[in-house]
Amino acid sequence: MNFLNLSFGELLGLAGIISAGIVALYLLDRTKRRQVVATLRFWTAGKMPEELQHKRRIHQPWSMLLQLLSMLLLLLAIAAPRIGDLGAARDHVLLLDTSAWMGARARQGILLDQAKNAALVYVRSLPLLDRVMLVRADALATPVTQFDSDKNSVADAIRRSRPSTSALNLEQALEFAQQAQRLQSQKAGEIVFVGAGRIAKQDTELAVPPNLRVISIPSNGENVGLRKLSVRRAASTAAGTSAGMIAGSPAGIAAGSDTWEAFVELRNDGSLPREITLLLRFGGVAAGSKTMTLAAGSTTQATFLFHAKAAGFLEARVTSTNGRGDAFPQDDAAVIEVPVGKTLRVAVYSPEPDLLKPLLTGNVQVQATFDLPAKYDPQAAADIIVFDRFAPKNALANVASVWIEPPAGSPFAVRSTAGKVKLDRWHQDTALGMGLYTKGVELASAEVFTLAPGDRVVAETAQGPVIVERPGVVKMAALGFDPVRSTMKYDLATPLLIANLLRWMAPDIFRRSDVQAGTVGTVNVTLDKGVNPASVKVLSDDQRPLPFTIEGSRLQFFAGAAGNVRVITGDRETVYSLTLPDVGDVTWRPPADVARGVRRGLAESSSAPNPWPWLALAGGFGLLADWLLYGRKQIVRLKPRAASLSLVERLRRRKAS
Amino acid sequence: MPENGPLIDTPLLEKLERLAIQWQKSLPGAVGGHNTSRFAGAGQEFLDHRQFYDGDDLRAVNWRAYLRLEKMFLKMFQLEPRIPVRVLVDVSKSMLTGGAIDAAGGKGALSKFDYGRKLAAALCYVSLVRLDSIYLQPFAEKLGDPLRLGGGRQRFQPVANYLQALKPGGATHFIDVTRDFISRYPQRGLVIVISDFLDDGGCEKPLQYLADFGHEMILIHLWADEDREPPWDGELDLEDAETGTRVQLAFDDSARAAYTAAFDDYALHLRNVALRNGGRYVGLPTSIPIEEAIFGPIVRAGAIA
Repeated sequence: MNFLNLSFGELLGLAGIISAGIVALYLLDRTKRRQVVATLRFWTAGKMPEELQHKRRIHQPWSMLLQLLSMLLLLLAIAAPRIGDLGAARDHVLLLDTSAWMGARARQGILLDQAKNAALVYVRSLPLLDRVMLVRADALATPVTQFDSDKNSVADAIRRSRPSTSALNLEQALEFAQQAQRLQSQKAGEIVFVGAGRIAKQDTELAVPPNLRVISIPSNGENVGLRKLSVRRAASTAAGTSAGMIAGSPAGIAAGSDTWEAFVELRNDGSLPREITLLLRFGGVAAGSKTMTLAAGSTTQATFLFHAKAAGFLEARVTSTNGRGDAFPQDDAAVIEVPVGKTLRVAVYSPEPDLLKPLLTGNVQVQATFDLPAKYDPQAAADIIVFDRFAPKNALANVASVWIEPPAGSPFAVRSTAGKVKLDRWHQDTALGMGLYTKGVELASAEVFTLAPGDRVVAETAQGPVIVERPGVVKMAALGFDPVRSTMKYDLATPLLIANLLRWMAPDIFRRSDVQAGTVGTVNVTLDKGVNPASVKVLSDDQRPLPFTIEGSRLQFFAGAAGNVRVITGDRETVYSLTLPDVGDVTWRPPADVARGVRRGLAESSSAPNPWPWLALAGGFGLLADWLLYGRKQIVRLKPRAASLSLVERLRRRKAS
Repeated sequence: MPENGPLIDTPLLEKLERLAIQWQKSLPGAVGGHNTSRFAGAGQEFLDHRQFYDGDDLRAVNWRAYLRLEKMFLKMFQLEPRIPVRVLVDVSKSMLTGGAIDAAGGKGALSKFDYGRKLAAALCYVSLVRLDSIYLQPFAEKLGDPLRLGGGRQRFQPVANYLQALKPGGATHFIDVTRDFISRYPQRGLVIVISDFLDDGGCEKPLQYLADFGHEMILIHLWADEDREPPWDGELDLEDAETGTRVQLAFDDSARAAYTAAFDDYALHLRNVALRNGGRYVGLPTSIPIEEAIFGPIVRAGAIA
């Protein structure tokens, strides 16, 4: 006989402690009752009852013996004795497939329901003393129980299992099971995999352990689902050339600041071609649709253009048009949030405002206003202010500003004004001068600046710096000449200089923003060329950094649960809405020599009785009998007597007599 | 009894308004409660004028007569001597017993100490209403600091505060208390003793001294139900609340009957001492409500009417 919950020594120790306590209580019960009284003068001793004469002896030994026996029975029930040889028990690892595919439809319920039933059958078939560790296998192998011989707790854990949103990583699960048996089991039993076994195509060649048993759950593999959904602002040039007439989109869509491009990727996992309709909705309104036929095992992409002036939710949904049911409806729809398009407000104060209009009105993200210096308003709302040959007395100190040929009173000190000077050099290492190049530009007149601490030279002549940038919390830049009034106005460097200026002063506005709906699990991101790995950030929903790796131009991170992840690389931000379930590509075929199904006759020794309920009942009955036989009598005997008659009444009676 | 609760509630105070403390003896040097005196002295009612002599109280000079006659006359008032009422309250440790279990076996009954305080407060209120002079005097091993009062019901609050501030402690020594009382109060008066009269040295002789000195006694004997009929059975380890002496004995129904008989004999003996000396005796178990005790046994005994 073995005890599962207590060792024999622990059982003896507890029994000794409880027995000693009961005996001590019996002895204490026989001690005298202590009482404080007003006086001792009226007290006289009565006849001592026989039962009290031997006060050091236990006068109810049967009661004590009954209590001791009952407590021992209860202790035995807690110790859970099992009849059988504990050394013959084996430790099994039950791998329950809880990947996203297990949420696929089955004849009754979902695949996981069938897997749970099969796992329960297997657990019940095991010998009583065998121990089982339940591991939920999806992208990660998560142990739910330790090696436990209590089949009820394992069964409860099996019943509580739910499909996850990640794909099955069977190789990792098998490695975990082998390691658990190596490190924690006394006698290794089987590793049992219960599930559909839908895994990635590259993981089909697995090294299976020799003690593996597979209980396969057959599934209908006919499924068409979304694999990717992404949204980004339509490029102006691309939209201009294609005029937004992309198949599947509403007619007449033209690219603009509020034009977005949606990219959808679909996959047919089944063995038959499927005809489907892909419907795109933005804010509940249809934004595009497309009917297509997907070949078996193929992946197809579709692109849509749509207008979105405000933020909203974009939904892509796949519906089957040929009447065939879809086994896995969870990947038939995806929703992502389209962000708000930001605009940059630029206020220009110039004696000749029309000159700068061509430079600033070309970008749809820039909203520029042009006024004469006399109309300068310090309260005007603007993100950047351009002062052309004008320096107000009360310029705002908390707004980025660009000063063109600044007069006295500006934040920049002019050393001298030079005439007919050549623009010699652009500093490519500065934010404004990056990528700029001119040749033979001669300026009729240019102001030469004196550098303040922190100033950086963007362009210079032989006389000194003529374009200066001043970084800081509030960024400023000064141009010693007007590029549109000089010979540089025909040069490509002029619009590029303005573009650099706006991007440097308002990087958030011009950051490229993509939104993608992807699958939970490992996410691969291809980085742009020249991206500094130190500037890469991967942030979760709550702005916490997630661990990631960069190999070459590939960034990789892992998301175990559904949610949004932001990847910021330089001037590009991609939001991954990882809400699509990750489904494996193929169904794993175990090798032929692997055991399959539940072995019959495995539970030949499982009929060993588990007597703890009977022991507990017997202990409880013993305590009840003790209380009925001895306890109630004790309580009645110790009850205080009722109040006596008043002395006045007694005095009256005595007087009367 | 809660520390901040009133000793006596207002309805009972209203009922006490119509009562007065009664005494039977004619004490030398003192006039009964409501009989006016023919002697002049400190009082409120005008009696006569006499000529002013050096050393007289200037406050009693009739200044109007002085302005008119340019002679100083002294106003004399009617003397209103009262029989002093002295209430002796036992605050020994034995008064604390018996407060935990009431007649029904549950908590809630007052201890003898709390019961005695309430009773003393009620008697003081009756005296104040009748404009008697009161001395409230706690005692245990010896007399404590007294509270002297008089002048009407509005002076009741100091009595209540004084009684609520009393702390029980010590053993009862009636012989010392009596000796101290006689030396401290040579003027005879009415003495109301509220006590359980449990003194190992005996209290019959001291009470007899008190009566022989000329005081009129009213003995209010308090006991808890367990003091008269202990509810316990079996082997008992008894501890005297005052002395700490311990006795171990077995207790059964026959011993209980003998105990109760001895207690009743003692109470009867006290009653005889009181009646024999012209006093009165009232025995009160603490299970009787205060109001019922005042308007029942105390009134019937003639202590108040």
